[in-house]
Order: sequence, then structure tokens, then C-alpha cells
Amino acid sequence: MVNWQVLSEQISAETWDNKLLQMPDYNMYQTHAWGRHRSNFGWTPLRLVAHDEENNLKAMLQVMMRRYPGNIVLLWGPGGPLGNIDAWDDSLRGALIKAARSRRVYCRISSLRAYSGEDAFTLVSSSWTRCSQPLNSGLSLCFKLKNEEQYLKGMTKNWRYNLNRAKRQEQSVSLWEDPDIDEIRKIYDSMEELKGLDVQHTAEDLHSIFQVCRDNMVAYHCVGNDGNILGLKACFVFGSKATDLLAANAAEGRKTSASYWLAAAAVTHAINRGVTHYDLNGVDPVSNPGVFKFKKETGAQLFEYLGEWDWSTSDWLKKAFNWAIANRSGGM
Amino acid sequence: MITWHPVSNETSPGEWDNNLLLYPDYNIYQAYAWGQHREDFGWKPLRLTARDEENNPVAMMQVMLRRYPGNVVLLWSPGGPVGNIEAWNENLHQELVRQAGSGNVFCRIASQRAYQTVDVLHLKAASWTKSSRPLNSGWTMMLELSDEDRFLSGLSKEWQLKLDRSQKLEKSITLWEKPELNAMLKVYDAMEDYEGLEDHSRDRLQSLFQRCGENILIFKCLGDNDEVIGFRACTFFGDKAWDLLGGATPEGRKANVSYGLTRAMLNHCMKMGVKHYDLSGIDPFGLKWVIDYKKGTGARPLEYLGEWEWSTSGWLKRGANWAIKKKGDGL
Repeated sequence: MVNWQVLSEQISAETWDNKLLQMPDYNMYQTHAWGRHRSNFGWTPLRLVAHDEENNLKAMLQVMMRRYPGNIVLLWGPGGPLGNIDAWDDSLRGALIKAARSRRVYCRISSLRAYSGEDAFTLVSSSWTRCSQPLNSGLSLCFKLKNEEQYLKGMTKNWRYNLNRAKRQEQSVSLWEDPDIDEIRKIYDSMEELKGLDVQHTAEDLHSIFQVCRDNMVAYHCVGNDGNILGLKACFVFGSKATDLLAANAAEGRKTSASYWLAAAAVTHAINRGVTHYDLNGVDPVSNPGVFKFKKETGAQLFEYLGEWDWSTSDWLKKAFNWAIANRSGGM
Repeated sequence: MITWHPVSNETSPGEWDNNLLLYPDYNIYQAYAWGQHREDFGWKPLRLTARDEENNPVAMMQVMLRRYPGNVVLLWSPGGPVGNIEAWNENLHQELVRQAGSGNVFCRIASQRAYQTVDVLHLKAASWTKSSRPLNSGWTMMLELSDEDRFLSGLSKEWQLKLDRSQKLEKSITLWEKPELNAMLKVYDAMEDYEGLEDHSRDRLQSLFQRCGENILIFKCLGDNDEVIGFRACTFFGDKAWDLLGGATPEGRKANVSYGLTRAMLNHCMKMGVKHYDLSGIDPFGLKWVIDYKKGTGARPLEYLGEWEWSTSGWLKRGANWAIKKKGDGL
């Protein structure tokens, strides 16, 4: 039996991240900084902790709340909850309803722990359902890092060839201490136009990430001899884990294989900072095999998340949110 | 390019089964005999194989066909297809339509391979949708078998206790070489008031033993007056086995006969080389005693890839789901 309680903003600002590091499945989306970042886009972060009868910390959840007309509340827990899965039960849902001050609540979680049949069974048994319209593939590629040598050895010949090729081009890769958002957008503009993609990150999103999460962000850029920025790579480092967050190459950078050098620079930087677990932040081998191949050939291993599950105070609300999410999911 | 073809008429049951055993996700519901068993109840089994460009076999599927007025065809593939999931694609759909001889086809599959996200992505990409009205929970308890000591050490305390209590019946528990339907049905009759049990008709049992008898292992326990007070049966294929039937009279239940029977059957399975014992489904919201009983054996929850469907039209899919909800037992 656990007791969930909502932490005040002041207490969570002081203690949240330290507590988070006690959970083996901690990740960037559950950090205090990520919650503050999302609060710049209309979400209210709620931070809850669960203690057992002996007052031991058992589980945590940072969930983003958004209120809609009719006091309908959407709760979205990227990367969470964390900790003992037995605590993700009715007691959590009761605490969420209380915190939301609504009887019309839809909650979606997206656990980044490794999938196991037992965990999935626990979730199903406690009335969570697998999302009918997931936002992500549920798969990623991850490195277990020891040192740079091991990382370099894990690459395929093809990937290493492209890395060396990139290093021979008239370009250089270096840490981007103070990233210029306009420059980043220019790179994204170029890539989005070339690949026919929707806007990946707005300027506001990038401003917020680099402003709110600056202590966690590590960015590298590739600069051509003419001084033009050809590509960038940025990851979020927290504890001994890092997660890819931004990656883009301008048309010119694609020709010079800049992405290989940038990817290697970011991982090497993470190793030097003591990172042992590096998540390439999602792959879809079926609908996006090109990106999957690029990431796979780095030597990273396929990782299956426990994934997205939802729960609602009513079935119609669940159906409606799944429909809405399927049709317009960019904001989550 | 993968192509699907029906197996030729000359393909013997043994040949089909031997080929099936080459795929890691083989199961009894895809075995030839199971198709014959379902044939006794109005289904027509179709058996298909898929080959790649080099003519190597890559996948197989036994699917049951039933035709309805208006040439609407229902296809139902318990346990299938098996093999490379990339082959469960539009080419399979086209072949199914061709074999059905109909433009109005609804097909539901129920894969028994373990849930993997990458498989889900493949199915979605090939126009399969998760069944909105699944017939089963999509979960089972899987017991990995190696030797008796390991089995006994994996038992829960509760299970161990009840097994100990059933020890006095040990000598009365024997392999049932020639199962008598009347005796089995008598046990089921005695269980009528017991909640949550499947209905077992004489016809179903008769067909099961007649068609799949060579793949069925059954143990019985006799009471003081030499009447069957409990039995337990599984079906086996390759190094896998599946719980099939089980029953106990009030007298048998009082003596915890099912624990002794299960132990005897699992021991026999281990001697036969069975390594994976599927406790044939679990409902996460079902009866607690059933979950505890199955969990107590040391089995672990396993999520099947589960039920997926595809249809030549959206309305047919909705109609079939409605019909399955109303009357799904026959599948």
C-alpha cells in the first residue's frame, strides 16, 4: 500500500531531481527542467511521489496537465511513472483525479523502462490499457557505454567509413557553447524543405529547451570552411544517462556526411561526462528504415520500451482523446 | 518478393507438421490435426505457405474458412500465421481473397508469438488492425520446464501446500491411456455449479480425441469407489505443450486433486522433452483463484502478439466484430 502526494512547486524545485536519480528508470522527460520547459507551452506540471507505510520512496511521476472546456483534463506523463510498478495503481489514479480537480480525466503515460511481460501484465491488471493511437513507435536504440574505444569498435565498417569520410571534408565539428536559435532554425528549415518534413521544432520550442534545460543540454555543430553551419546534434544529459534530442543537417551537411561526425562527437562527449546509457530517442524500423539503419549501424542495441498506456474516468473520453491525438499530436 | 500458395493436395499431415516445426512460433492450433478437428464443426481449413525469391519457405498459415450468405467469407486463424512476419503482408491478403473466391472477406488472426513492438509495427504497416473485440485476453502464463527439482522449487507456498495435501492420492493418479468420454462428462456435470468454467460438449471432446488424440496427454485420478474424481489433459507438439482440459468432482477438489494431476502431467511432459508449457490463457480481470493457481506453478505472464484483423471492407469488419461479440464461442 502506497500513498501518493503532490509536491509543491517549491519543494519539488529543491528536491525533485535528486529523488528522481534514486529511481532506476529515471529519464530526461521526468526531470524538473523538462517540466518547466513544457510549462512554457500551456502545460501545468504536477509532480507526485509515492511512499510506502514505512515512508520509503517507492515511485514518482511528473505529469503534464492541460484543462479543456467542461473541466476535461488531459494528463500526459512522458517517461513516467518511475519506480515500483505496483504503485501505478488506483492510488495513483485517485491522487491524479484529486490533483486535477475533475471527474473527467484522461491520462496517458509513456514508460521508458524496458518492456517485460510481467510489467505489462501488472499494468493491464490495474486497468491501464495499451494506447490504441500511440504517439511513438515504442522502440529505440541504446548504447551501454564503457569507454570510447568500445563505442568505436561497435560501429559497422560502413558507419566508420562515413565517419572518417566526414572528418576528411572541409568542415569541423565542435561543442556549441551558446547555440544560436536562428542558426538552428535555418538548419532545420533546410532539412525540412529537403525531406518534405513538417516543422520539427519551432523557434519558441528551441528557445525554451536551451533556456530552461541549459544545464543539461550538450550541443555540437558542424561548420564548413565558409563559416556556414552545416549541421547540429544536441543531447540531454541527466545522471549517467543521455538522450538524443536534436539532430539536423542542412543540404550541404548531407553531402559531407556531417551527421556521422556530429553523432560520434555527442556520444564521445557523453562518455567523457560519465554517461553509461545513451538513448538514440526512438526508431521505427518499418516506416522509417533509413534513419533506423543510420542509428543501428552505430552499434546501438534495439530497446523496446514498456511504452504508452492510458486510463480514463470514462471510455468515451478515452476514445475521444485517442481520436484527437491521432489527428493532432504535435503539442504533446 | 514473397509469394503465398496453398499447399498441394499431396501434402501429408506429417509433412505439414514437420514444416511447421521449423518455425519458432509453431503451435498446436496450426497443426494439421487441429484443422481436422475444426473441420468437424463446419470450418474448412486452408493451408498456405510463403516462399521468398529463392524459393525458401518463410512462413505458413492454417486458416479456417466459413462461408455465409452473400458469399461473405470469414477466415479465422488461431495461432497463425507463423514464420517471418514480413510475409504477413498484402500478398497474403490477396492470396486469402483468391482462395476464398470472394470479394467480401474478413480475416482474423491470433498469433501466439510473444508480443514485440517491432512485430506490431510490421502488422500495422501491412494494414492489419488490432481486433476491437478480441476473443481472448491476449495473455497466458508460460511455464519453462527443465527438471522436476526446478519445477518444485519454483512453486508458490500455497501451491506447494496443496500439492502436499494431494500426496495421499499419488497412487490413484495414472496416465489415462483410453479416455472415456462418459467419465469425463460426469466430472464436468459434477462441476456444473462451479463458476467460470468452459462448456465442454460431447461432440467437441469426441472430435478432439479422435483428431488430435496422438497429441493429447491425459491423467486421471480415481476415488475410493473407482470413479474418476479428476483429470487433466494437455496437448503437445514439438517441445511445447498447452493446457487443454481439466476437471474435478467436489470430492476431488476437496482432496486438491488438480495439484497432484498437474504435477504428474508436467513430470510426464518433461520426460517427453517438453520445454515450454503454456497454461492456455489468463484473464487479468478474471477469477483470482485461477490466476493464483497458474501463477503458483512458477509460470510467468506472457503477452501474445494477439488478435489482428483485416477485411476487404470497413463495414464487413464492423459487422464481423459485432457478430463475433454476439456469438464468438464457435471460433
